Order: sequence, then structure tokens, then C-alpha cells
Amino acid sequence: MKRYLFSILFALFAVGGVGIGYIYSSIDHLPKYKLATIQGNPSEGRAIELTGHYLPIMFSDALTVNAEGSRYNYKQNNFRSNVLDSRYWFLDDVNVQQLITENRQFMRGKVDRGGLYNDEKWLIYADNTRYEQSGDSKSEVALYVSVLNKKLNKIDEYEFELNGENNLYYIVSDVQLIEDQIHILVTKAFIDGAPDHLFDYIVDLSSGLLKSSNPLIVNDSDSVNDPKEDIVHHLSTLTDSKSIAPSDYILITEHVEKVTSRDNENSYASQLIKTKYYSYSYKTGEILQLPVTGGGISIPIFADNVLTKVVFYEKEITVTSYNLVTEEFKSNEPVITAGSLGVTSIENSILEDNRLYVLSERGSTPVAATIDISTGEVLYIGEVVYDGPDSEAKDAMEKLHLMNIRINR
Amino acid sequence: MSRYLKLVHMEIHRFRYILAALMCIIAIFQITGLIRFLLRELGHRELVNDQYTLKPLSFAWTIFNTQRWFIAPMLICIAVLAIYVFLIWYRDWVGRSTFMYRLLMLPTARLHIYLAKMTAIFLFVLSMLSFQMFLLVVENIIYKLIVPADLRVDSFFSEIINSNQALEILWPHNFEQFLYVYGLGFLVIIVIFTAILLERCYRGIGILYGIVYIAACILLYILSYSLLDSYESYLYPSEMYAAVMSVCGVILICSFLLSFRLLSKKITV
Amino acid sequence: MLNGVTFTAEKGQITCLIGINGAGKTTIMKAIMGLTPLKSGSIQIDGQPLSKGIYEKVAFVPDHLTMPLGMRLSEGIQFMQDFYASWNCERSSELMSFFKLNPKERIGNLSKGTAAKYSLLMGLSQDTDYVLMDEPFSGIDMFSRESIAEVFSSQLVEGRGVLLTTHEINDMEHLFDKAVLLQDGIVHKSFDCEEMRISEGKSVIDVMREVYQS
Repeated sequence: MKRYLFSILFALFAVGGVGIGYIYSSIDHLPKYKLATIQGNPSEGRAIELTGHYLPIMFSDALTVNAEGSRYNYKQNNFRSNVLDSRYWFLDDVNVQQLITENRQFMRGKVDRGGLYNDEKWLIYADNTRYEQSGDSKSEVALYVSVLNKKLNKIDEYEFELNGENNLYYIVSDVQLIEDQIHILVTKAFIDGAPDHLFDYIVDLSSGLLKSSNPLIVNDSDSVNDPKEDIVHHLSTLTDSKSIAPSDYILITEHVEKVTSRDNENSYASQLIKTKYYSYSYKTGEILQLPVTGGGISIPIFADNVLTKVVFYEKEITVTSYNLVTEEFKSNEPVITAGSLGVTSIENSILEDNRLYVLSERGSTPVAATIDISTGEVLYIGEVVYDGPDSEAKDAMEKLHLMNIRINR
Repeated sequence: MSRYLKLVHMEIHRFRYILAALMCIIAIFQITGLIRFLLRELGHRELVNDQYTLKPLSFAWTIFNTQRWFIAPMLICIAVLAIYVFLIWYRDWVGRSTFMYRLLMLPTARLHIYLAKMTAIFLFVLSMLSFQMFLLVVENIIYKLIVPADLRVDSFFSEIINSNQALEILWPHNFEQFLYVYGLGFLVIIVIFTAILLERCYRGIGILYGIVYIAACILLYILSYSLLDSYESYLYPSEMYAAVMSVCGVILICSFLLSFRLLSKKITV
Repeated sequence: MLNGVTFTAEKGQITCLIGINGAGKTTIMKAIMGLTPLKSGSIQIDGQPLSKGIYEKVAFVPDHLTMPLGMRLSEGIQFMQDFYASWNCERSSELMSFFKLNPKERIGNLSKGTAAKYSLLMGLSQDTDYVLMDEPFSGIDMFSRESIAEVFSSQLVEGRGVLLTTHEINDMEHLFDKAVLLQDGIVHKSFDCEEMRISEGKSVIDVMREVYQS
């Protein structure tokens, strides 16, 4: 046995050294934080996650803080987590996850939430596919539609050719089913900076034939950008926040920008002049400009036929909303102020499910709050605290910088 | 089992002086670089005017500024171990003494010979890692001995690892990632072992078989990995992960089975 | 290339495989020890097919060193003791003394004769039923050869089956009980040496001349 002592110790050193190293690294961890409730119902703050960085002398480490504690990205990242995070923008959506659970085979290969439509009877997906051909200015682009009849468990697939010039690309923004007509809202975007065009492709549900492709004319934005003033118009769509569910409308946002400096036709810096909102009715084909306009740092949300714009300033948050059905318009109604939250400044906010989640600061301490948007009632206030000895708290909090808020249910 | 362990002992015993030499090289390089930097830095701070704000002299900052002194000996170690992956077999076949005769005539399953060599390589790699961790502790002590307390700043373990490009690669922060990185490395070694045995069994044409085998494994792995890059993949992420792991498992099992078959039935000395 | 070799080596006998260079003598040895794969046919030890248990029944003394050159003689013996249940420590010590070997000497520094003695020690120190020896007398001086030959007459070999190959037929044929002559990949002749001497008045060399020069 004595003869083998060296090898035994060597093997223990080899394996044990690695083990001890990892045990030590888990003990010698970066500072821990957590979001502690200081007012209200803790359950209203449970889903809040604040993200940012821990900034010591060297390097910065991205982290997430919530009511359970803090998680550093460098500790979480590995091959498995990176693979499982593939297409997170699509697969992390709870509605998409539900669809995958119910229709696993149909949902394979689907990547865009905007291309999905779901109701009790039908599940529809639309997307575009580009077939490249080298050497040609044109390539084949097809609009691909897949329809699942849930009752019969039958899938029908259709493909329609689109104009495949190489200087443009297509984005499917929304899919709706209105009276047995599949409406596919497609943004035709030009790589060279020319204004975007929107089209409503209408496919007959029973026959699968493309019945029409209707351009959506939004104000004068389909005309060439004003050359004298060097104004550019950008269109984008705003779908219902529960975009998979049926909706009779889609909102169109028009950003009017003045070019301040230009490198070439495609590369320029610009300044936003104004933002306009329009509604498009799939049923009637009507496009109406809404009384809501842009301004400030805002997050527009469209849900249940109501456009809500939350505008946050350093000291207050206001809400503007417009109901497409009742035409009820509320303009710049203050929801909450920094003073009422007991904070020095408001940094960020998001709106979800009739709740306004706010990230603010009291001195250098991050504070999170949950507000009922309809009543303005503050449901929850929490602040980030250092989870460790008091003697280290000041230094740890100074090095913490949280900039974003998100909801993780 | 005991014969397998005895073979492992024998392999460790045969390589002990080279291992010791590699550890000495690493220690000498790193400690020299560390002391050199610290003395120069302390001397520089004495001369500098108070109006300049200098970064505190943390251990992580010290490691950051001695990259080459760390990386150079690591590269030497990696090169030596990479060469030994081949030599651990070939040294028993070539030369005046053909030790492979003895090994193949031992009253033990021949797979023990294979497993012992594989285990030895694994232990050598892990021992170099462990030694590096031990050396960081020693270097931290040296740092504390040289740098006055008022200039010292503590560094977190993660900061120290992040300070050095080589350490970042060799010591993943996440233990699960460590298993993936080193698991892949060991899979490569196992494939190489199989290619070596193909060459030893079939000699001239065996080199071609070995190369083809390695190429086939690489191709299979790349094909499975390409699933991960596909934006519109037919597979869900969990299935992609399972596919890649399965392919690695298949390569591992095929390499083991092929190696054992070659050692049992096809080997010539 | 061997093509249909069939012979039997009995326990308690010294059988010599004879043939010109390239006849396949070493190949047969290596095939028995599983060091060369067989394309067809079978090898049996005491009626049992080859398995890893064979290495406790058959010892092999190859024609060259098979231990790491940096190893000391004592370490080599320790290595064998670790792996072979049949290793006889007393016998290995006796043979070390008999051959006047220095345990601290490194294997790589041994002369050819001393290396041959050490190889023989490794083979005979195992308590096996059979011993295979490939050219145990090759390229060594006369005195070493005599020393090794003495071992054949001793109780170390008595009762065991010995299969050996050698070109030193002239000097060593008195040791053999049986001879097997190989030519063109087959067994050309297999005979009892003593019977051949008595019945036909021929030595092994005489028979060899008849076979290889005809």
C-alpha cells in the first residue's frame, strides 16, 4: 500500500483540487442582493426582476435581482442554458408555451409570435421564406401559411409568391381570422431606407387561395420622403399585447424624423419630430388616425382595443389612452409621482396586465413599485437591499447599477 | 478492479518526473512574473505625484498585468500533454523494449489497459488545473507579503479568473460548463485513442483508417452542432440539446466498443 | 504466412519449433499468447480455448526486452508480482542469485546476455504449467548460454511443458524431447528426438538437413 501512496495522493489532489476550487468559488461569491418589501402586498412584487450590473474595480458582472435574491449571469451561463435559451424571444412567451404544449408538432419550426393566430377552432401561422439564387437581383420569396383545424386535427399549408427583389425584405406583423378570411399583415421594408409599405394579404380559409393584397395607405407616408426637408417616415405595427388572440384591429405607428446628418442614402442620424398613431380595421379596411400622439419616453401598449401610452419623466408618470370601440380618450393623466413613491427619480417602467411596474431610485438605492393603472393605487413598493453584513452594505450598494425592470411570471 | 488501479498507478509513476517538471515551470514563470510586476508597480507608485488617481493594486489587477507569464507556461503544458496523448501508447511499442508485449499478456482484461491510460491522462489534466488553483493561493500570499496593507484591495475569486484570458477558458465559472468543456476534451482524447489503435492494428492502411475515423467523428459532431445554429430549427431547444448530447454519447460508445474490439481481437505487436 | 499448422506440445516435455528464418516460429508463439490475431483455426491449452486466464497458465519469454528501459530489475519483479497470482517470490530471488543479477540495475543498461537471463527469470518465476521461449539463446555468449541451459535441466522446468524456438540446434538439441519442423507455412515433420536417435540413428540436425536441403 505504501508503494501506491504517491498515486493515491496524486489522484486525490487532482480530483479534490478541482472540487475544492468550485466549492470555494461558490463561497467566495459576488455580493448578494434582494428586493425587500417595504410597503404593500409582497405578491404584487414577486414577478418583478431588476437587471443591471455590479461594477467593482475591474470588470462588470451582469445580474438580476428579485424578491428571492440575486443571480449573476456569469454563474448561470453554460452550454445547456445557452441552448435552452434559443429563440427565447418566441419560446419564453407563456402563450406560445401553451400552444406548444397543446400542439407540439404544429408549432415546430415556428419563430415569430406576430405570425401566430389562435382561437378555439383554428391555429394559424404565417411567415415568409426567401430562396436565394446567386447572381440574380431577384430571389424567390414566398408567403407561407399553415392552418391547423383543431377539431379535425388537420393541417393545410399554402404558399404564395411575393416580389423577391434583393433590396427589400418582408416581415409578417400580424395574422387575424375575420369571417373565414385570413388577414396577414405584412411590412415590406426597403434596405436602402425608402419608406416601408404595409400590405394586408387576404387568404380564403376554405380554399387556401390568395384573394387580394391590399396596400395600407397611411397619411402621405407612402410617397417619397420630402427631399427639401430631408424628412423620413418610419412605419411600425403595434399588435395586441396578447398578439396570438383574435383582434379586429392593428395599430400603426408612424415616426416622422428629420435627418440631422447623413453619411449616405442608407446611413444617417435623425431626430424624431413627431409620432402618430393609426388604427386599421381588418373588418372594414378603414384606417383612422388616433388622437394619441408621441412625446417623452413612452411605452405604447395595445390591449383589448385600447391604446395606452405610458410616458415617464424623472418625477412623474402619465398615461394617455384611447379606446377604439368607445372612442374614449384620456390625455396625459398623471398616474404616479416620484414624491408619492418616496423616491428621488423615476428610471424606467413597463405596463403589463393593467399593472404599471416602475423602477426608481431613492438616492442610490433602487426601488420598485407596482401600481394599478386604472385606479392609480400603489399596490407594492420594494427596495433593493444588500444581503450580507452591514459593514459591507454601503460599498456593495454603491457598486450596484440596476437599469431595467421586467416581469417574469 | 485492482489490476486496473495498479495499471493507473504504473502510468502515473512513469510520468511523474515530467509532471513535476511542468509544475515547476508553471510555478517559476508565474511567481517570477508576479514579483516582477509588483516590485515595479510599487516603485512606480512611490514616484508618482498624488494628483494622479491610480487604480488600487488588487490581486486581480496584478494577474491582469502578468498575462504572458501565465499563458506561456500553460501553453507549454498543453503542448506536452497533447503530445503525451499519443506517446502514452507509442512509447510502449517503439524502441528497444516493447512494453506492450507485457501489457497485453497481463492476466487482466485488455480494456483495463485502455481505461488505465485514459484515466491517467484525465488525472494529469485535472492535476494541472488543481495545481494552478493551488498556485493562485500561493501567489495571493506572495502578493500580500509584498504589497503593503494600505495599498491592497481584496479580489473576488471570479474577478481573479476573469483577469486572465487563459484562466477564463480553463476554469469555467459554472461547474456544469466545466463538465461540458472538459467532457468534450476527454471525448477528443478517446477518439484519438481509437485512431491510434486503428493504426497499431492495421499499420500502413491503419493510418488512413484512423484519419477517416477522426474525420467521421468531427463531421458527426459538427452536423449535430449545426442544429443549434438553425434559426428555424425543426427541433425545440430541449430536443437540440438532447440531440447534441446523444451524438456525443454515440461517439463515446462507438469509440469505446471499437477500441475494446481492436485491443481484444485485432492488435498485433 | 502460416497455412494449416497443427501440432501438440505436451506437459513435461521440451518441444522445439524449428525452421528457417521467416518460417513462422515467432508468429506461432505470439498467436498462442494472443499477440497476433488468428484468421482461422484454434489454439487450445489443456483442451480449453484461449482466454485471458491463459496468462496464468502460460508464461512467455520473448526474444527481446519487454519492460520499460528506465525500470530497475527489482521494480520489474515487483511489477510482475503485482499482476500475477502465480508469481513465485522465492524462485525469483533464487534466480536473481543464480544469474548474479543486480536488483538496482536499470533494464536499459543490461547486456544482451544479462537481458536474456532476466527475461528467463521473468518467465520461470511464474508457477505456470507451460513456458514459451522465443530464441532464449540467441546472440549471447557461450557462458551465459550454458548458465541458461543449466536451468533447463533443473527442477525449475521439470513437469512443465516447454515450447521453444532456437537456431542453436547443435549446442542445445540434447535438451529437446520433441522437435517440430516448419516449412512453407506448414508442419513438415514432428518427431520424438530420442526415438529418432534410437530408431534411425539421426540427430535433429540430420533430420533438418534432410528436410530443408531436399
